[in-house]
Amino acid sequence: MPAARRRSTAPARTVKNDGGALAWFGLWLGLLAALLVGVLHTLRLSTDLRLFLPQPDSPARALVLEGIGEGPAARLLMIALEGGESVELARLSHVLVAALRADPEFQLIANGAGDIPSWLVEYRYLLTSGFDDRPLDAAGLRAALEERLQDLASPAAPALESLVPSDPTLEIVSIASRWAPRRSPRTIDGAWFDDAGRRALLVAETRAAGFDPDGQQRALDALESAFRQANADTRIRMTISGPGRFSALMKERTQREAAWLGTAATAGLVVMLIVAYRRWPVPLLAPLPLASAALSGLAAVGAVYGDVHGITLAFGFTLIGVAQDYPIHFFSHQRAGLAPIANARSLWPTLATGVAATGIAYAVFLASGVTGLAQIGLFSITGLVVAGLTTRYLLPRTIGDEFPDPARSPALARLGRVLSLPRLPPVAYAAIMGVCLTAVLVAPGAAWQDDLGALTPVPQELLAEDAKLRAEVGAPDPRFLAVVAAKDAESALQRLEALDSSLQELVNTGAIASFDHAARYVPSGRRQRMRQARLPAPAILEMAVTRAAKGMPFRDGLFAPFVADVNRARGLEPLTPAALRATAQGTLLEGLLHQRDGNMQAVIAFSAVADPRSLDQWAAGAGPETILIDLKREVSALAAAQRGRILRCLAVAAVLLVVVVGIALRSARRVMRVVAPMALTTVAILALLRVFGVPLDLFHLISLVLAAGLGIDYALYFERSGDDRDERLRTLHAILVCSLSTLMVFALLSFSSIPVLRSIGITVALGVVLNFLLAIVLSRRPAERA
Amino acid sequence: MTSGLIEACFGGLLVLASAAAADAANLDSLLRSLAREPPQVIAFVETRRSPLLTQDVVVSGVLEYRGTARLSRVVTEPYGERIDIDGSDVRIQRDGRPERRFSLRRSAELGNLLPAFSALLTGDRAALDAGFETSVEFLPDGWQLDLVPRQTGGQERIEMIRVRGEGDAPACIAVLAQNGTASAVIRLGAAARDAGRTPALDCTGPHREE
Repeated sequence: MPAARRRSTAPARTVKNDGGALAWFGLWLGLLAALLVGVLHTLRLSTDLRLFLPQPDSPARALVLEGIGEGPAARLLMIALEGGESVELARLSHVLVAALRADPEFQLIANGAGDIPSWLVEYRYLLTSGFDDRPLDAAGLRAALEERLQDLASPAAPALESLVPSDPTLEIVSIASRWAPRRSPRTIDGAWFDDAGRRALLVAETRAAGFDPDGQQRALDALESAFRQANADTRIRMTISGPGRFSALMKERTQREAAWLGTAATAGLVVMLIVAYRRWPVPLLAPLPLASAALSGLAAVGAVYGDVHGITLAFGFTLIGVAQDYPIHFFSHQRAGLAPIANARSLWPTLATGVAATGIAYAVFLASGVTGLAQIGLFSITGLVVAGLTTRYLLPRTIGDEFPDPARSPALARLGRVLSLPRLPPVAYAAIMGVCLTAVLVAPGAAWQDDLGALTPVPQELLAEDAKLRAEVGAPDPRFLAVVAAKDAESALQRLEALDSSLQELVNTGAIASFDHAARYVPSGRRQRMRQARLPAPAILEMAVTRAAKGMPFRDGLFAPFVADVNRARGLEPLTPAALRATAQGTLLEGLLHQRDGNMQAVIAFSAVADPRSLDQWAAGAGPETILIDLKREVSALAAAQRGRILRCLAVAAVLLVVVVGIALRSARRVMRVVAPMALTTVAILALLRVFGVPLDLFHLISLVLAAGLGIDYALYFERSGDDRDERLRTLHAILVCSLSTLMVFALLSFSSIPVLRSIGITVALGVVLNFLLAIVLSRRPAERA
Repeated sequence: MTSGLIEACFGGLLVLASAAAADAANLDSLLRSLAREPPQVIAFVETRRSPLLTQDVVVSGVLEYRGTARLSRVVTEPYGERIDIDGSDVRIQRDGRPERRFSLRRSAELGNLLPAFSALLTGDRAALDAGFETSVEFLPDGWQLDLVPRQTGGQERIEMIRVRGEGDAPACIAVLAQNGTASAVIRLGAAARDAGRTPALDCTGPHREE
């Protein structure tokens, strides 16, 4: 809700006891607005997943990090057009290519219509492998000229006539087919089609990384609008597939679900706050500490890091959710006759203990060495401290004291009987704990979800479609790639050339369908010079042409352009990858050969890997500079390493938390009472997830941390309430409102179709229920039995 | 360029009919008479002239028509060559050479010849009109159908495809380049058998035009 509207609807009635309340409210909103403007101006949202991954410990891992979402395979979009005559589909395909070729969102768009920049034509005798095995002599030329004569007697003649005088062996045609991306699908009207000829296929490489949903969305929008402009026929449909499409799709779905879940939760929260406090400014005031927490957390991250990762936001907001409880405790303890300031002062020790305990625990993330985690730590700590301070110092100044005392509510008094439940005996506690721990340890099934793919809830049929399209256009397999390290581009190209025959062997045995590397486009300088050295001098070539054409009806002097071009090729400086940079192939090349840490790194891409074992064997024999990377395996290993790091952080955090609570309460028994419910809840949730066969992921872990934070707070307040009946009822009221509102929000999340949101929802919802019940039977002071 | 004979025939009945309307009716009846059920195998002799060559090249063989947009051109003399056209996919196979593939789009000549040939053999008036502006002329010794492509696909341009025939059989197809001279002439059926070893590069055959 816009701040201005809140201000204008703030009623004078409830604040009549304190004329300054409205002013304080306005001041608070003003501060938040200023903070919001500052944050919007300074903070950049980053989508670079590497912020969230640990420093790579091997060259392969370093590459994987680079490759995640940024490699050429992750930037490819496969496009299919279907639903019309093939001629019309092909026409549309060419129109799309023409429209998007110059579009800044795309590095490359291809549909099979190969074109080679005209300036490259003169390099053809350095690029072609046509004369590697046999020299450019009269015998070879004779065979070529016989073929050209047949071409000129065929309907293909008009298309070739312009080419023959300067290129009688049609080297440019063989280079073009070599440069056509990978295994070419069948073509109809010069456009790629699937084998059935029903779908026109295109491949686009976006400039934005695969994990950049906004960049991908821009590319998708450009595609859609070009398609709409070119296509008047509504029967023709365009299907787009690829990692980028999925990341945009998931962002859209997540946002849509988060939006309706958020709306539902907000509405529920407002209703609940009105029912609980019968004062309608409460729904306006209650969100302010949390809003302050979020904005100051963002400001802090912005000031320290500049960039904030989307995941930081998601996790950070989850973790500071506990701050929503702070104002609720305050409201529940507010009653006529008690000055709000005094109320806040009396709650402060408990509130401060909660903030300090969770805040210091989260400080562990600051020291995790992973930028993303440190951001989460900074965000949460700043947020919790600010939420605590605003609840203590600002919130009390914005209300009058006219609140109904929950202790006078008969309904609550009846509910209050739960507080007379017997405490859980230590033996029973130990027994339940034992059962849960056993369940955690012995439950069958995978304990951890290491397949990051399982977290991206891309519908299975879309993934299957993607694999099919990828195979049809011969796009690289996103799982495997090999990397060859070298000191410079030239030696990288030489190494690739040396690997060529063993790679071709893999193709011949069917282990892979095809491979692609930089030397397919630009041979090494050494090889180009070798070819130059073998090109005949003009006089010799002229003689060879004359001999070859003897008795054939070619016009005299027809091949003078050929002799001249060969001669020019002999004097050319070899083509380098750098010289190709500005061309369509140059961007392709950039993905296959790039600088890294002062070294050159060449990538070998494979398509349709059928036999990973053969690939492994090939890599083993390919020399120490060549590393084969199985992205799936490496990403799982990364996820496992990352998880280990987070678990260690959490263990340290748990210890710190107990220490802080111990310092605040100064009694081992009281610490036990506060920590026991949270500990059992955590183990019980783990046990439940394990028993139901849910593998744990990072989102479960973060949610467990939030649940633990909530549990600590519930226990602290119950523990604080002591023997006084009224105080106990007020605490019960506060914790009921807290837990019900949290439960509502996270129960909603647990119905989400998005696994990430569901993980968080289920875990926290379970945590709230268990923490609440256990706090009642574990955290009350034993004195009340008297 | 209207034919006096045909106009005379229809003149008494359709005084007000335009020449175009008459052409249309004539073309329909001509197409009906030309239509054949696939498959058809037709002998051909093709003469081709290229600015790169000092003499015309002549090849002969058979055209195999296997249905809409499916045509093969099989050269048997003076060497073996097979071009299969399926939709817009073109495959060229020659004795002892790896197969080559390309798209009809790449060649304006093939891209226009095939639809024309296919439309004639299926009697598909709509397909013909979609690809070409047509005009038909009836001469004393046969008919002449001129097809001007509405669009050309490849880099090279062709001006017109001229089909000549007698009765219900096409005898000759000429591809006329931009300057109006023929770049290729394909004689079909009986005309192919009569062509001799070095047929001239024109499509007049037995039907001399004045």
